[in-house]
This record gives sequence, structure tokens and C-alpha cells, in this order.
Amino acid sequence: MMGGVVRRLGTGLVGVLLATIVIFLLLRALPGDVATTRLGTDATPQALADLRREYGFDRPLIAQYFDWLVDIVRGDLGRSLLSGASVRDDVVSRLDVTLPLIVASTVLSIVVAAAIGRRTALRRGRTRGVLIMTLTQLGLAIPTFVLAIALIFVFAVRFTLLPAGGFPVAGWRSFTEALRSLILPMLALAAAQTAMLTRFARSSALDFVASDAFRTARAVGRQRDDALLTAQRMVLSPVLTVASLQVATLITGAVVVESVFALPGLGSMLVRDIANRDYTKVQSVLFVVVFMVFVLRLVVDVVNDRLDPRRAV
Amino acid sequence: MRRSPSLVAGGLVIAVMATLAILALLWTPYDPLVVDTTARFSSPSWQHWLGTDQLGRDVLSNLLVGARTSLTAALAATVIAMTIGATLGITTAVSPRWLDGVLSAIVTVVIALPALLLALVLAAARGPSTSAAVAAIGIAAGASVAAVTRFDADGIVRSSYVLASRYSGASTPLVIRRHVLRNLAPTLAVQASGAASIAIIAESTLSYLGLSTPPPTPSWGRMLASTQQYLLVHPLLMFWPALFVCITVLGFNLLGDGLRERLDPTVAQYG
Repeated sequence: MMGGVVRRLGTGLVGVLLATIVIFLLLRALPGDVATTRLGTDATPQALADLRREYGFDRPLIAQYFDWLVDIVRGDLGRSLLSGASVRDDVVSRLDVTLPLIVASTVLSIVVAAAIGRRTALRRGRTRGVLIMTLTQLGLAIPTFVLAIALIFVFAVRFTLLPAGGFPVAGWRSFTEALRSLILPMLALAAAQTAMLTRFARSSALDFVASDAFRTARAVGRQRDDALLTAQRMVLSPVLTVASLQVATLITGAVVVESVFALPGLGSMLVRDIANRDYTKVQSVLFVVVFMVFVLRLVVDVVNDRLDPRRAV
Repeated sequence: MRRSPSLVAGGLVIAVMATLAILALLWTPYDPLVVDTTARFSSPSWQHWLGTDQLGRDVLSNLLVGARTSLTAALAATVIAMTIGATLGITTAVSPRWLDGVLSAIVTVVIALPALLLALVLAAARGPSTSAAVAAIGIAAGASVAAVTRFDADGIVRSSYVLASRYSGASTPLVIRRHVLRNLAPTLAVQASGAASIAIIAESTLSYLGLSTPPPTPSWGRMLASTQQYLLVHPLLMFWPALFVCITVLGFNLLGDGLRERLDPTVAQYG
């Protein structure tokens, strides 16, 4: 058990390290630099060179990479080249919006999917099956941004039940308002994810009910519900695996949802910073995103190894 | 073998969309780019079957050319995704532990990088382009395909029949051809249609955000973005491109389901 966790932690660390190289190289390969953006095109070459030296852009690539890596390990994400603000402070304040959005969507989709999967294993009515398949097909077919626009149209414009966008300036201190402004974005983000996980849960439930293991369990006299306890694990395990693979997709979805709903989240900040060519900040923020994905995956994998011990071998 | 309604419906939808896309190469009711300020926001009529947009351009013509843009991008992204995914997935499953470790780590990193953000970075730096968007979508979907394929291929490689085959002298390439590929065929077919539907959504999202096919080429995503401000007054202008995107995605998903039922009879039994 502990060996498995250590091994997964090791793979995760190697993954994060690889990701830092990919991110670093990707951003260095882009044309344009922040010195020009900040000083304007009519800046003197001397001023540009001074600014680049100040930030160490004149040093060898490998030295720049290791400087960045050492800073990250020490928990220093650097400063924005444009505003001079600490990237860590920016990220932390933006996570107020993005983290609840992603966590709530993930939890909602897993809970719904697992519940439907279990019910499918219990009774597989034809009508019920058709209904679930139709709903999940719809959920998968509607792009997140289209659903977001439709939700705004119905719930914010036609029936003014919820805000059409934005986030209270006071943040979570005005709790109800903050919560209300995240409901529609959360639903838009969770819909496709829920549909996809539900389909996985359903098909693994059906696989399990059709399996020799289930038939044998029933044949030796285990009660249906008792045998289904195993089904719960068999259903949850692939659902969690898919959910962990989907974390990056969810963050991508968050970028879209945050821009449709005009939310001050990590995604909308990243889009703005990319447009501003604030590359050192983009680099650190991308690292934070990837790091979050790896942490979530690690947690899911460890839970999953416990649910389905065959995986851990 | 039971007839599969999903396969028929999905196949039909995709066939119709493909026909429309090919038709748009040869003929559209109007030039999709011609602006007619005297006929802005006209309702559906015999002249303009689906009406005209805010600049008086024919909506149907734009939808048809948009189908071409979307399907071409989706096809290219799917080919990239399946090539990367199947190759990597099978390689990792049959290779020695250390190589499996290295390749799996790379796949994990790519999955952890949000694809849209990469496309965003590329578009911000080099300007929006279809090929950059297609490459980003293809690589991202390819990584997911690789992860799923590895999982399935691993199960096959560890199975007792492969063990038996190995004991009777089968080489790794033979095992891959005879057992792994044949048993993976259903999953790969299903994944290809899944990748295509993801590609359609991703392409429309990117062009909605202005990061894929640059103007003036019509695309469903940009039609949605440019008509959003008229949603309250002229909701139909957003309805059509949204409908086309959803139907195409639905078509690929149904096709995938149908293929899965067809190739794996145990699924259909409990439909």
C-alpha cells in the first residue's frame, strides 16, 4: 500500500519536472518579448537591453530554467513583468473563483455518475436506459460555451433568478452573492463531465452485472445487494480514473466558462496575461495549473488503488 | 446480429453533414461572404431559407461552408490523435518497464496540460490559425487515446491467451498484430469517433474565442460569437450554428456507440 503511494508520488514528481521543461521551452519559443511590450516599440535599444538584463533574459537558457525551478521549489512564483505584483498573490486571489468552480463540478459529476451507475446495476429497465442515454447524449453534444450562453439566456435574462455574470467585489465575504454567481458557471462546467462519467458508470455497471464474478457471487448464495457492494467499487473505479484524466479538460472548460460569465478566475487571468505577453507570469501560472492537475490525479490514483487492488500491481 | 439504431442514426447524420460539406465546395445558395446591407436580419424566406445575419449575409451558405471548416479540422485532428494514441498506447503496453515508465510519464504530462491553453498561447503569439488549433486538439486528444489504449492493451498483453501464444513462440510483433490490434479494434473505432466529436467541440470553442480559423472563412464558432450580441432580438441567428455543432457532435457520439455495440455484442444485450 505505502509502496504504491511512494511509487505514484515518484511518477508524479517526474511528471511535474517534465512539465516544467515543456512549459519553459514552449514560452521561450514564442516570438515577441515583454520588454518591447512594456517599453513600447520606440524604446531605445539601451533601455530594452537594461530591462532584459534586470530580469535575467540575457543569461543562458539553462541558467534561466534552473533559476525558475529553484524559485518554484522555494515557493516563489516571481512577479508580473507588467504590474510588478506577486504572482503568488494573484494566483491565490483568483483561486477563490476557480477552485470552488472546479471542485464543485467534479464532485457533482462523480456523485451523479456513481449514483446512476449503481441504480443501473440494480435494475436495468429499458425505458430508464433510453432516458439516461438520451440525456447523456445531449449533455455531451452541447459545447460548454453554448450551454453557458443558453443558461444565461434562460435563468438570468428570461427569468431573472441568478446573475448573468461577474463575481462580487467583496468575494466570499458576501457569501450568498458569491455562491449565486457561481451556480450557473458550475452547472455549465459540470454538464458534459457528468454526462461522460455517467456513461462510463453505466457501462461498467452493465459489464459487472454480466460478469462471471457477479453470477458466481449470486450462485453461491450472496444476496443481490451484497454482491452489488462489489459493483459499487467496480463502477466507481473507472469513473474516478476518467475523472482524473478529465481534470485538465475541466480547467480548459473553466477558461471558457470564466470568459462567458466574466468571472475573475485563474482562466480569465491567464488569457489576459497571454495577450499581454507577460510570459514569466504565464509560465508560473501554467505551472500552478499543471501542479494542481497532478495533485488531483495523485489523490484519485491512490483512492483508486484501494478500491481496485488489481490496479496497484 | 441485432440492428443498431445508434449506428444507423449516427452514420446517417455524419453522412448528411459530410455531403453538405462537400456540396459547399461546389455550390452554396449565395456567396457566404457577400454583404447586403439592404437585407440585414431578414427572416427565413424563399430567397434566404434560413434568413440573413447582421450584415445581410446568407445564413444557410455560411452554415454549409462552416460544415466544411469544422469537418476538415475534426478529420485532421482525429487522424493525428489516433496515430499518436494507438502507437503510444500499444508501445507502452508491450515495452519493457523503464520505457513504459518514460512514455507514460510523457503522456501524463500532455494530459495534464490543458489543450485549449496551449492553443491560446500559440494563437496569441502567432495569430489565430486552423493548423495550430488542429495540432493542439490532435495532440491533446491523442494523449487521452494513448492512456485508454494503454489500459486496454495492457489487459490483453497480460491475458492468458497471449501468454499461451508467447509460449508457443509468437514474437511481439505477431502478438500485436494477431491479438492486441484485433482485440483493440472495437475500442479504437469507438475512440476515433469520440476524438472526432471532441475535435468538433474544441474547434467550435476555439473559433468562438477567435483562436482558430481566421476570418473571413466562415466557421460555426465565429458565427456564434458574432451573433451573440443580437441573442435577445434575433435568437435564431445563434440557434442555427449551435444546432449544427450539437447535431454533428451527437452524430459522432451515436456512431461511436453504434460501433461499440456492433463490435462488442455484450453491450447491445442490455442496451
